[in-house]
Amino acid sequence: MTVAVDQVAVTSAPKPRGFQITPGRIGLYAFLIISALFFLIPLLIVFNTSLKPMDEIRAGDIFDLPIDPSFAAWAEAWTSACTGRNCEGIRVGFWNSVKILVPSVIFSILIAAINGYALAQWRFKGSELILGALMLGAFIPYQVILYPMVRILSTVGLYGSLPGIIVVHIIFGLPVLTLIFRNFYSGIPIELIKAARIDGAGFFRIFFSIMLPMSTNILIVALILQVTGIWNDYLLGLIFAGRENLPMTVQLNNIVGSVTGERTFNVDMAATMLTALPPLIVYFLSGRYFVRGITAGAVKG
Amino acid sequence: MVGALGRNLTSKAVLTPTIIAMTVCFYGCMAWTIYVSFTRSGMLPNYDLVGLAQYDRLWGDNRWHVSFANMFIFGVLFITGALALGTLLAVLIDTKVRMEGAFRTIFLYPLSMSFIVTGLAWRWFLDPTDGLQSFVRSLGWETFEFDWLVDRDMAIYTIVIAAIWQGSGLIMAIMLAGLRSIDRDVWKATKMDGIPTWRAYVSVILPQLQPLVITCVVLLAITVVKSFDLVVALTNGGPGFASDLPAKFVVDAAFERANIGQASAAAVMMLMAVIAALAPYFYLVRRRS
Amino acid sequence: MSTIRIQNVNKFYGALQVLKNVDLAIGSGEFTVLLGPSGCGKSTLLSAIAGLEEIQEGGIELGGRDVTHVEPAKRDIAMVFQSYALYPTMTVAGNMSFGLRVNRTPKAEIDQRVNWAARLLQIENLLDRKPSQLSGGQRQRVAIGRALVRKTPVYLFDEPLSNLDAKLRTEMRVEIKRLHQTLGATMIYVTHDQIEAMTLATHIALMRAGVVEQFGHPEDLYQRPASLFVAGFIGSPSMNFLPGTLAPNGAGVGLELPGLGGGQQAVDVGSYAFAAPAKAGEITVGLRPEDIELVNDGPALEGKTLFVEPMGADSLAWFDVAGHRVSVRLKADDGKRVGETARLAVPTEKLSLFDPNTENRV
Repeated sequence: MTVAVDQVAVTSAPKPRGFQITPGRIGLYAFLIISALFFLIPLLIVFNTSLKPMDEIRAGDIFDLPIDPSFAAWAEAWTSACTGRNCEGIRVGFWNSVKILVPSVIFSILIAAINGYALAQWRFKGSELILGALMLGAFIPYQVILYPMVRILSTVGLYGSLPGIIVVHIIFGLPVLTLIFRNFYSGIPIELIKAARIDGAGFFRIFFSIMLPMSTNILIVALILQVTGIWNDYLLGLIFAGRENLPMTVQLNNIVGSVTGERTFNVDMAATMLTALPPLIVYFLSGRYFVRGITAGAVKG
Repeated sequence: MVGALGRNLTSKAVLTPTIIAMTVCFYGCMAWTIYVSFTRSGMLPNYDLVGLAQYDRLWGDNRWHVSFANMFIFGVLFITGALALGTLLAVLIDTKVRMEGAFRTIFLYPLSMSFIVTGLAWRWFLDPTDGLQSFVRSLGWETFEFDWLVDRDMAIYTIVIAAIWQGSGLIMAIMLAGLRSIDRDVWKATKMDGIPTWRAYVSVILPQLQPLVITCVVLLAITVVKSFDLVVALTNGGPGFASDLPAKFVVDAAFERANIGQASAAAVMMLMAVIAALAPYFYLVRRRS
Repeated sequence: MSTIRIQNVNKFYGALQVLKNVDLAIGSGEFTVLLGPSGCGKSTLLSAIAGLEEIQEGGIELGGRDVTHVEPAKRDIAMVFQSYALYPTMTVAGNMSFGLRVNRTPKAEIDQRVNWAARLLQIENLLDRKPSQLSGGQRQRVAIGRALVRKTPVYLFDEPLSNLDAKLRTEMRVEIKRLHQTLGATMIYVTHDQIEAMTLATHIALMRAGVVEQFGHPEDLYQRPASLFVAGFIGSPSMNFLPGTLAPNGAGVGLELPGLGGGQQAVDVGSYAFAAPAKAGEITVGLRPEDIELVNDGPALEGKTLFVEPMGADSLAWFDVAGHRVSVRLKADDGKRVGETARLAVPTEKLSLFDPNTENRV
């Protein structure tokens, strides 16, 4: 699966040169623009509403532009949005997500890279079997594994803790990441390893001095896949993180779900924007790598 | 071979933690769930085998019937919808449009967001009292009705819409990469033969992308089976359990209703669904090689 | 002290045997070429010497030390690869010094050796570049430089010139020959190109299907091929083969050939260095195109002219001799004067005789 899609990269077409205006071209642009609106409107409404005060929301419609746009609701969402009785804002979830994200991403990528390298360049009896097991593992739905995993983690005392959710993210990320790295390292000529071995370098020296410096592209792909994947995770955070470490997505859903008194749409939507922002920034910064990262990860879970 | 053995030892040692994690956490847990689905387990796991009793009960549960049927409604509509829209957008973008980069960026961005964010955004947009319906009514069309979100029979279709919104960009990206990889001489040949562009796409170009279409279908099918967050954020399975999906059914059974036996049996059904979705794919891959 | 001894090496890939009883003794300072068609096992043998491939049976000694089970890095060898295998993220200097850095050679020593090798290969101005910024020929020089800085007594080359174009290949061939003369190190060189082999080697081991068919000086392989395979592989255009019959008589050994004219039944090959006393019977006769002369009278093969290929310095004339194609190398001018038929003198001193059943030289 990943073999087929992780090479996806969209190249640009040659620049258009003075097309005539025909009914067909007009229809084409009309359809593209309508589609673009379909894709833009839901998020624009969330953004639009997050900039309005509550009385404007009550008085007007979702499409009305804010008369007096302000980020007040964003500030409120960040510092004092309520989950039930707890009103410390979505920043709690933000920092929890960061604490989960950083170690999970670093360790999962490092382990997967070394594993992929071992599987690609240091073949031994049974390495094909491991590869097959990894590949099938990537397709098992989380629901099949969740409950027994909870029991295993409880047994070792990690259930509902920060290390617990980190371990879960590392393990669940391994199959796809390992396959990505393995496919990448299989493409590196074996003669390079041979040359390094004659130069006296061992398994780890070859990995850190030669393979890793060559892996920039695939590391970016893996980084995008893991950062967006782990940041956007809801299910694993909900079940394994524990009350103290709930990630931003879970807290967001709780904030929106807990209504005390009047529903503060602007704060809810500002919290939604804040949650959406980190992966959106990754998306806008990463350009062509993003599609490769996402397609590679689409098989996960 | 001292040297060779040493080398492979490092390689094996490095892989050992992964192998253990995979064996225990993926295959061990899967085996446990399959076993438990044949036991008397209720609130706590119980290891007395009772044959297919859990499955009997599961298939007698109206909520499961709804969830399972929803998976197919959702699956068929979402896969065809996302595939059609994604392919169409890819073809349109491929015809040398201006601002191609801007269009691509817009069609793809939902992919970067959490299903929770997608679900909430669409929930507000489709909310009959605050969203689209009230907006259209305020424009003067007083009888306009769009209340699928709270309609028992229609709620599942709101999930289809939101999922297509999120997933079409991926299909567009994959198909566009495929279109761009087509040999330019093929295009020249169709021009020489005087074949209209639309006809060239339908009869010559798209058939060459069949392997990519299969890949897309598998990717989308897996999204269908694992869809959990989107339902939670958009409808939370409601109204009642009208828009429930197996992924949510299992989590609810295991962690809210605390019925391990039912959760396991339903999870095994999900596994079967994944296998059913993957089997044709692996069959094709094997036959081709 | 850098002799190489390869003793009865056998290697298998599963059921497939890729090296069969390979047994070679290579002297210190020799330039040995492993030659053969693709898939003959020459690269595998080189990898086995390097320690990159395990062997199942037999032993390998380098400089009198048994290294059969020694890691490649500890064998005191350096190697140049077909694809150059330069580390893409390191500069030229970084590539050349990597092995020394791994082995914790002092910095001053590393610099001195890198500069020495760079000067020797005329790549001093490239030291700060990355491999992707180099041309094919420059990469090749860097790959050789990376081997040279190790200052090992043995250098291994795995088809190092096969990725270069014809002109660069000739240039680098000369360069490698010069290096061998300058360094006096033992070199083993794998190639499928017989010109490279003939020009570079002090010894050639010609291999086929995992077996060393012949090991000896280039002239030996050319003049006295040990088998039909060697005779056919070396030499361009290749040797002519004719079926004949051997008839030993009291005074000498008669060789009957088809198309033999001038009232002759047989030519006498009594002066041929038979390995064992000649036996009567069928024989395959090998004749080099340049050993055949066109004559007007005397015993000769009668041939019908097929065509003449002018090749600049000389010409190659093709004749039909009793249904067999025979090529003759002629001076360019002589090539123009070939008539419709010709008489081909048999060079009784320079021919090779092979047993048609065992395909070995007799």
